Amino acid sequence: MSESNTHAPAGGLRLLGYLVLAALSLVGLKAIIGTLADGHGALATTQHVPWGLWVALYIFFLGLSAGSFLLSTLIYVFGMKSLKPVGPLALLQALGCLLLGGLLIILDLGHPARLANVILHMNPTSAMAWMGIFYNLYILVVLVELYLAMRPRLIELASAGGAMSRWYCLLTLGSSNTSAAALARDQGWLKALGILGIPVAIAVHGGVGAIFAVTKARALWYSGLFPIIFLISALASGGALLTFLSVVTLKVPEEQKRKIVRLLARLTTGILCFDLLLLASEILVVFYGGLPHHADGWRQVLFGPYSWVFWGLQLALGTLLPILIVGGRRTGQSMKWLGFAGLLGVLGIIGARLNIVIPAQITPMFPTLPEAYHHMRYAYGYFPNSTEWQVGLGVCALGWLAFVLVRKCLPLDGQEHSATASSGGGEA
Amino acid sequence: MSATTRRGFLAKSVLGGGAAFGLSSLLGARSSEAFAAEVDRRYDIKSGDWIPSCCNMCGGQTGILCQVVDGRLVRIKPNDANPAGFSNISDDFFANCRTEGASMCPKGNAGIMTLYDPDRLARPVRRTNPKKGIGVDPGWTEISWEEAYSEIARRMKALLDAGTPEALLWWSEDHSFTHIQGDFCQLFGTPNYSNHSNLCDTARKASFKAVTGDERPLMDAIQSRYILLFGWNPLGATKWSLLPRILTRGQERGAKLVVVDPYFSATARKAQEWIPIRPSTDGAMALAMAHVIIRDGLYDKKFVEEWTHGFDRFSDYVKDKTPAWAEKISTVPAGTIERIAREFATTQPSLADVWSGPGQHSNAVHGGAAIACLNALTGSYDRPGTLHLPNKKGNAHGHLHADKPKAPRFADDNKLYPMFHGSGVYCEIFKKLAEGTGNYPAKMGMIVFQNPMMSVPGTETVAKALSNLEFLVVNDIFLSETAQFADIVVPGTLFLERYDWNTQWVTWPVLALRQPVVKPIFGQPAEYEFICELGRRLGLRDQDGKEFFRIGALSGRPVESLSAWYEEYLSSESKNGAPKMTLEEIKALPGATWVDKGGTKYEKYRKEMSTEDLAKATCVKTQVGGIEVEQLWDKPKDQGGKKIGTRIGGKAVKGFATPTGKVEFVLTCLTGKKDAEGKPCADLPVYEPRDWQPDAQYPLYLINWKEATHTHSRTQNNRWLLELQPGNPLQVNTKTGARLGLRDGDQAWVESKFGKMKVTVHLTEEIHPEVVGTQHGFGHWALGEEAKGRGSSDSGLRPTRADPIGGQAMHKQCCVRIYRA
Amino acid sequence: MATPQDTPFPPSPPAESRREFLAGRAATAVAGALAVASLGGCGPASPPAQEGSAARRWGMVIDLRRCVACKACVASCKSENKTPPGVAYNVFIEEEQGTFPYVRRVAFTRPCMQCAKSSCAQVCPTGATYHRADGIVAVDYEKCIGCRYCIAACPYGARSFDYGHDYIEKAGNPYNEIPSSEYGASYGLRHKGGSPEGNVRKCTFCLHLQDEKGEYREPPACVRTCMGKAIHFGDLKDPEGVCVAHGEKMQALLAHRGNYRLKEELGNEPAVYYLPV
Ligand SMILES: Nc1nc2c(c(=O)[nH]1)N[C@H]1C(S)=C(S)[C@@H](COP(=O)(O)OP(=O)(O)OC[C@H]3O[C@@H](n4cnc5c(=O)[nH]c(N)nc54)[C@H](O)[C@@H]3O)O[C@H]1N2
Ligand SMILES: Nc1nc2c(c(=O)[nH]1)N[C@H]1C(S)=C(S)[C@@H](COP(=O)(O)OP(=O)(O)OC[C@H]3O[C@@H](n4cnc5c(=O)[nH]c(N)nc54)[C@H](O)[C@@H]3O)O[C@H]1N2
Ligand code: SF4
Ligand code: SF4
Ligand code: SF4
Ligand code: SF4
Ligand code: SF4
Ligand SMILES: [Mo]
Repeated sequence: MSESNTHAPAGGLRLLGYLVLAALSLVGLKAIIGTLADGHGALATTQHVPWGLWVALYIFFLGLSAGSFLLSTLIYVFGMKSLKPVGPLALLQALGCLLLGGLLIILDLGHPARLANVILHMNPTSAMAWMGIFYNLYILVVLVELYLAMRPRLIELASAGGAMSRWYCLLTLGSSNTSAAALARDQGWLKALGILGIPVAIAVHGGVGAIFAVTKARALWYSGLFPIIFLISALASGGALLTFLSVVTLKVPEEQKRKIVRLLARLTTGILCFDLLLLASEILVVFYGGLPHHADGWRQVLFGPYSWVFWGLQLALGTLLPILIVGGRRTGQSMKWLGFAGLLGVLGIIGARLNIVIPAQITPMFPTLPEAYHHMRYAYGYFPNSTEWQVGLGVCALGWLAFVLVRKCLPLDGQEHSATASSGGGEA
Repeated sequence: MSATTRRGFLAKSVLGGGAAFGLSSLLGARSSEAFAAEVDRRYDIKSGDWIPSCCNMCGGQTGILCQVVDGRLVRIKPNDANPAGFSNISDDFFANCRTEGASMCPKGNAGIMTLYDPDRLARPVRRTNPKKGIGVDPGWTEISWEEAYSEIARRMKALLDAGTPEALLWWSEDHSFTHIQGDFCQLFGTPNYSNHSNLCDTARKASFKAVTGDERPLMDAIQSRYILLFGWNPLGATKWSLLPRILTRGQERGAKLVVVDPYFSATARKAQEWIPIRPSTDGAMALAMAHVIIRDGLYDKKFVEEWTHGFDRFSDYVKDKTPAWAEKISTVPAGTIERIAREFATTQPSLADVWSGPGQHSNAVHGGAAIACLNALTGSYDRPGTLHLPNKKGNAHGHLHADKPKAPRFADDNKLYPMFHGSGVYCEIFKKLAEGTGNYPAKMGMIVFQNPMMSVPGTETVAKALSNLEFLVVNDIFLSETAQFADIVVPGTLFLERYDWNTQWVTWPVLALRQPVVKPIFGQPAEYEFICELGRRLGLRDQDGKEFFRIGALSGRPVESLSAWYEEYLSSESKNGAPKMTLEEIKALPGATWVDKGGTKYEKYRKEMSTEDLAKATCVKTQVGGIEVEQLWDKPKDQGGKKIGTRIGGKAVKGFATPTGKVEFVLTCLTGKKDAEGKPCADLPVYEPRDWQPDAQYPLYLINWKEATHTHSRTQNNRWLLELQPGNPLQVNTKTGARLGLRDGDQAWVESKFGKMKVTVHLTEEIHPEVVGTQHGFGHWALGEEAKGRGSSDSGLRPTRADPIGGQAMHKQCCVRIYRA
Repeated sequence: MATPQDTPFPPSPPAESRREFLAGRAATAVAGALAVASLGGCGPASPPAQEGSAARRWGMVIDLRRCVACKACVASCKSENKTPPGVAYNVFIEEEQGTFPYVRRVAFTRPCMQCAKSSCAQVCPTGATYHRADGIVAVDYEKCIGCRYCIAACPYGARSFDYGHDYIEKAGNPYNEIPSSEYGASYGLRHKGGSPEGNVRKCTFCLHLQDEKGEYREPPACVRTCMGKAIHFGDLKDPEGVCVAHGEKMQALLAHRGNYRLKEELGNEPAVYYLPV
C-alpha cells in the first residue's frame, strides 16, 4: 500500500488499491452473510481444532487494539508529550481493531444472536466471560477517550464551516466549551480513563491470553507465562501498526513525524526483544522438561508442517528483520524502512497468533484420537479453507476501508493546533 | 399416547444490551428460534410400539426390539427374550439373560440408517441400454410394478411354454425366505435353485460333516477352558451377537484363547496368544498337534476307543507329521506347536474351531477335517465347553407335493463335487455360464439378495456369465453392482419391513420371528410377496392341482392378500415345527421368540434310542471303511428315510451322523471318491499344499476378513457405519513394506495373474510378513452414493473357482505382487 | 481369572445372593426383562427430573478385559441420540503397539467422563454447560452460544460442535422426521439455525432415559448394547450401588480389579473408571 502522505502513490495506483480493498470487502461480506445464514458447515475447523483462522485473527486484532491503547496511555497517563500527535490515531486504532476482532469472534460463534448470554448468564469461573465484561468496559473507555482526545479539534472544526461542519458538530455531542479549564478537565478525564484503561486493556488482552492459558487440556497453552507473552506481543503489535500507520497517515511536520516514528519504532523493537526473551524462556523450559504433551505442541510449532510460519513469518520476517531495520544505521533513519518494519511486525504477529491458536489444538487429546472416528470433522490437522480466508481477508479489507473513510471524517491529526500542542519532549 | 408436558427452563430472551452486543440485534435472523420448550414424549423410550423382531444386517438373526412412533422406526435395542444376542448355552441364557441383557453389534444398531438410506431403490427399473458390462450405464428407467410383474412373468411363461423351465437359474441368500423360493423353483420345474452358503462356509460344513456327521457344530466357549481358533474371527465377524460375550466370559472364567491367523484379527487381539500362520497351512499345524498328542498319549483314550473310527490309520498317518515338519510349512515354530498341542490336550474341556480362514482355499476341506480331528482326540464334541452339535429343530418346511425337476442341474455341480452342498456351487455355475458349457442354454436369471459381482471370486467371469443371460431379474434394496447387469431390478425389503423365521445360532431349539416393524417404506412388496405374485401369474400348481401360491397353507382356502397368504405359509411352518404354535401365538410370546424349555443337551450321541423308535426302525447293515456298521433308519432309504441311530457296542444309540455313527478320523464319506477336478480324494485329513502358491512373480499371499463394522458388500452405504470404518486399506507388514519401498498411506497396485486393484497401503506390525490383506466388502462402483469409490475389492484378483470337494468359493486363495501406483 | 463379582454360571449362585441381586435390580427399576414385558402399553411418562437426583453420582466402570473393540457402543449412541454427521458422543480409541509377532492393541471406548471438576463447565462463559445434581454434565442448548471454548478445554476430546450437517439431505425422508431423544426430545426436529445446530454437544449418559425420580429405567444405549458387557453403569455414591444394566456391584468391580481413570493427573475426577486388560 501507500507509505505516507509524503510518499503517497500516484492516484491511479491508489484507486487500484481501493478497488482491490472494495472487492475483498465484498467477497468477505458475502461470505459473512453466508455463514450467518447457513451456520458453520462451511468452515474447515474440526472437533480437534475447534478454533481456526478467525480466532487467530480475533486475538491478532485484540492484540493490536490493546497494544495501541497501552501506547496511548504513554501520552495521556504518563505524559509522554512527544507522542501526543499520534494519540487519537492510537485510540482509533484501538477502537477499530477491537471492533474488527469483535466482528470475527461473533461470526465464529455457533449462535451469534445469543452473544448477550455471556453477560446475562455470566459464568464467573470462565475466563471468556470475564473477557466479555472487560471487552465492553474497554470499548466504553476507548470511545470516551477518543471523544475527549478529539473534542477540542471537533469543536474547532464544527465552527469552521464547510460541508463537514454539521458532521463535526454532531460529533461534539453538543459540547462547545474550549476554555482552558475545560481542556484541562478533558486532560484530567483522559488521564483518569487512561489509568482505568490500563488494567482494562491488560485484562482484555491478558484475559484473551488467559482464555488459552487456563486450558490445561492443551499443554502448549497451559503456562503462566502465556498471558504475559500475549500482552507483550500485543504491545509489540500495537506499536508496529502504529509505527506503520504513522508513517503512512500522520500529517504533522516532517521533522516531528520523523521523531515520533523513530520513537515508536524503537519502543516497538524493545518490546519485540522482550517478547523474544519470554518466548525463548518458555520454549527452553518446555523442551528441557520434555513432558510429551508440552513438547509435542511446541514441536508442531517449531518443526511441524507449518513450521515456516514460526521460523519464516513470526521470527525472521516479523521479529528479526524489524529489529535489524530499526537498529540499522541507515534504515533506522528512513521513514520508508521504519514503516516497512512496522508492517513486517504486524504480519509477524499474525504468524504468532496462528502459532498460538492452531498447533496446540492439532496435538490430539489422545495420540490416535484422529483415527478413532471417520468424518472430516474428526480429521487430523487444520488449514483454513476459502470461506475462512474470504471472511478473514474481507474483514481486514473492510477495516482498512473503514479506516480510510474514518480518517477523512475524523480530526485525527493536526493536533498541533489544539491548545496543548507542543513539540519538545521526545529524545533524539 | 402419553401426556405432553411443558418444561419450564426455556424461553428466555436472548437479546441483551451493551455496546458490543448491538450486533446481536442485527443478527436477529438467527435468534428467531423461540424454543417450543416442549418435551416430545412420543420419543420417550416407553412410548410408541415396541415390536420384537430379528436383525438381518448380517446373517446372524440377533433378536431386536424396535420402537415405532407414527410409523417411523425410532430405536432398535437388543431383545432379551432371544438367546442369539446373549448365549448359545441354555443354562447361561435362562440364568443370566434377564439380569445382564442381550447385545447387538454396531451393524444391528445402524439398521435405521439402512432402512432410511436415501439411495435405496424405491421402484422397479428397467434397463434401456442392451449392452451389459462393468462400467456400462444401464440407462435405468422407472417402470410400474404391473409392468415389472407382467414382463417377468411373460419371460418365465415363455420358458414354461418351451418346456425348458430349467433355463431359469436362481440365486438367493440362505436364511431369508428361502423355502418359498425353493418351492417356486420346484413348482416351476427348474433344478437350478442355489443359495449363498457355498460362498460362505460349505468347506467348514464339509469338514465337520465328514468327521462328525454334523454340518455346523457351535463352540461352547463360555464353559471351555481352552479355545483354539483357526482362521475364525468371531469378535470381528460377529456372526451372532452372543459371540463376544461367550468368548470374553469364557476367558474370564479361566479359559485360554489362542488364535491362529495370519492377521492380528479382532479376535487375535483379545487372545492370550496369537499365532501368525502362513495361509492355508492350518491343516499341517493341526496334524503336527495330533502327532504330539498321540505321541505323548495325551488323547482321551476312552472317547477315542468308544466313539471314533479310524484312529489307527490316522495315528499312522501323523507319525511323521512332526512339529518340525509343520514349522517348515506353516512358519509356526515347532516349539509353539508342541506347547499348544500339550496345552490343548491337557486343559479340559478344550475346543478347536475353524471357519472361513482355512476354509476358503483349495485344501479347505481336509485342512478343516484335520482341525476337526483334534477335537476327536480330546473328545471335544457335544460336551460342555467343547464343540456342540446343536439341536436345530425349529420351523418345519412343509412337504411340497411336486415332481422333482426332470432336467439335471445346469452345471452338474451336484455330481462333480463329492461333498456337494444343497446350496449349489456358484463358482461352477458362473464359470459354465460364462463359458457357455452348461448342460443346456440358460436363458433367465433371478438373483435375490445377493451381490455375486462382489462376493464371488472372479469378477470378470461373473460379469460375463450374467451378460450371457437373456434376461436377468435382480431383487435388491440397492442398485448393486450385480443389479447393473439386470434387465429389470425390483426393490426388495429390508429385514425391518418383512417376515421370516429364524432358528437361532444356539445349541438348543429356538424359533424367533422376524416381522415387519414398519410398512415397506416405498409400498413395495416383500420378496416373498413378489415371488408369490409371480407364482400366481404363472398359475403354478402342485401335483394335487392346488394353486400353490393362492391356497392358504393352513386354511386350505384361497387367500387373496399376498401377505396374508404368506403369514399362513409361515404359520404352518411353526405349527408343524418344534414350537407347534401358530404365527400369531409366537408373535404373542415375549420377544416373539419361542425357546425350548428343555435347553441344551450334551453327549446326545450317547443317547439310547427309545424302544418305540427302535421298534419302528429299519436296520441296515453296511460295510463302511472296512467295518460292518449296523445303521438304524426311520424308514427304508428308498422311501426317503433318515438315519436315526447306530448300534454301537451292542447298544442302539443316536451316535454321530456319520456313516459309522462315530467320529471319523478316516473320512469314509470320501473313500473312493473323486473331486471336482477328477483327482482321487484322500480319505484321511491329509495336508496338501493349496494349489496356488506364491512364486517369484507374485510373492505375497493376499487374504481378507470381516470386521465388526460392516457386513460383506452390503453395508458400505450405511452412513453411520462408514463413520466407524470408511474404507479397507491394505494391511502390509512394516518390514515387507520397507522392502517394497512402500510408505504408509501410499496408493499402490495389487496385482495377481487374474487382475489388479488399487489400494491404500497401511503399514502395520499386525500381519504376517508374507501376507497382505484387507477387510472384505469395499470397492463398490455402484450400490449407493456413499459406497461408490471407497476402498478396494479383491474379488477380481481370483479365478472363479471353488474348493473341489465341497464347492466352497475360494475367497482367500490368491498370490500377488504390490507396487506403488 | 474369574472375578468374584461375575454372575457365576455354573455353578448357580447361592439363593440369597441371587435374590439380593434381583432385588437391587428391581430397586433401580431397570430390567432388560422389563423391556420385553412392557412391550404393550405403558402409562403416561413424565419428564425426567431436570437436575437429576442429588442422591446419585452416575458413573461407568469399563472393563477392558471384556471389551472386544466392536464399536457397537459408538453406533448405539448415534442411534439413541440421533447425532448428526461429525458429532460423536463416544469414540473408540485404538493404538497398535509392539513389533511382529509381539503386537498388542490399546483400545478403549471414550464417552464423556462426566468429570466432577469438569474443564468444560469451568470455562463455559454462559454456564450453558453445567453440572446436574446427579453429577452428569449437561448442556443447555438454548444458553450455549457455540463458542467452542469447552471443546478446547476438555482434556478428553469428548465434546463436539454441531456443524449442521445432516446424514440425509433428501427432503421428506422419514429419518429427518425423527427428533433426537436427548434431553427428552425437547429441541424438536433439526432445522437451520435452531439448536442443537451451532451448539456444542456431548454425551449425557443418556439422561433422557431417567424417570421422573432421576433413576434409570433403561441403561444408557452404549451400556445396553455393549457386546462384551464391558460397560457397567450405576450410582457411584451408593456403596451397594449396582450396574443398572447387568447387576454387578459398582464398588465391588472397582475394588476387585485395579482401576484407573484417564488422565487422572489433571484432577478432573472423572466418573468413568477403567478396569485394565
Ligand atoms: N461384521 C461381520 N460379521 C460377519 C460377517 C460380516 O460380513 N461382517 N459375515 C458373516 C459370515 S456370512 C461369515 S461366513 C462369518 C465368517 O467369519 P470368519 O470365518 O471369522 O471370516 P473371515 O473374517 O473372513 O476370516 C477369518 C479369519 O481368517 C483369516 N485367514 C485368512 N486366511 C487364513 C488361513 O489360511 N489360515 C488361517 N488360520 N486364517 C486365515 C483372516 O485373517 C480372518 O481373520 O462371519 C459372519 N459375521
Ligand atoms: N473376497 C471375499 N469375498 C467374499 C468373502 C470374503 O471374506 N472375501 N466372504 C464370503 C462370504 S462368507 C459370504 S457369506 C458372501 C456373502 O455374499 P452375498 O451373499 O452376495 O452378500 P452381500 O455381499 O452382502 O450382498 C448382498 C446383496 O443383497 C442386498 N441386500 C441387502 N439386504 C437386502 C434385503 O433385505 N433384501 C434384498 N432383496 N436385498 C438385500 C445388498 O444390497 C447386496 O447387494 O461373500 C463371500 N465373498
Ligand atoms: S450380528 Fe449384528 S448385524 Fe448380525 S444379526 Fe446380530 S446384530 Fe444384526
Ligand atoms: S470429559 Fe470433557 S466434556 Fe466431559 S465432563 Fe470432563 S471436561 Fe467436560
Ligand atoms: S460452546 Fe456452548 S457449552 Fe461450550 S463453552 Fe461455549 S457456550 Fe459453553
Ligand atoms: S451414555 Fe449415552 S450419550 Fe453417553 S456415550 Fe453412551 S450412549 Fe452416548
Ligand atoms: S460395545 Fe462394548 S465391547 Fe464393543 S467396543 Fe464398545 S465397550 Fe467394547
Ligand atoms: Mo459367510
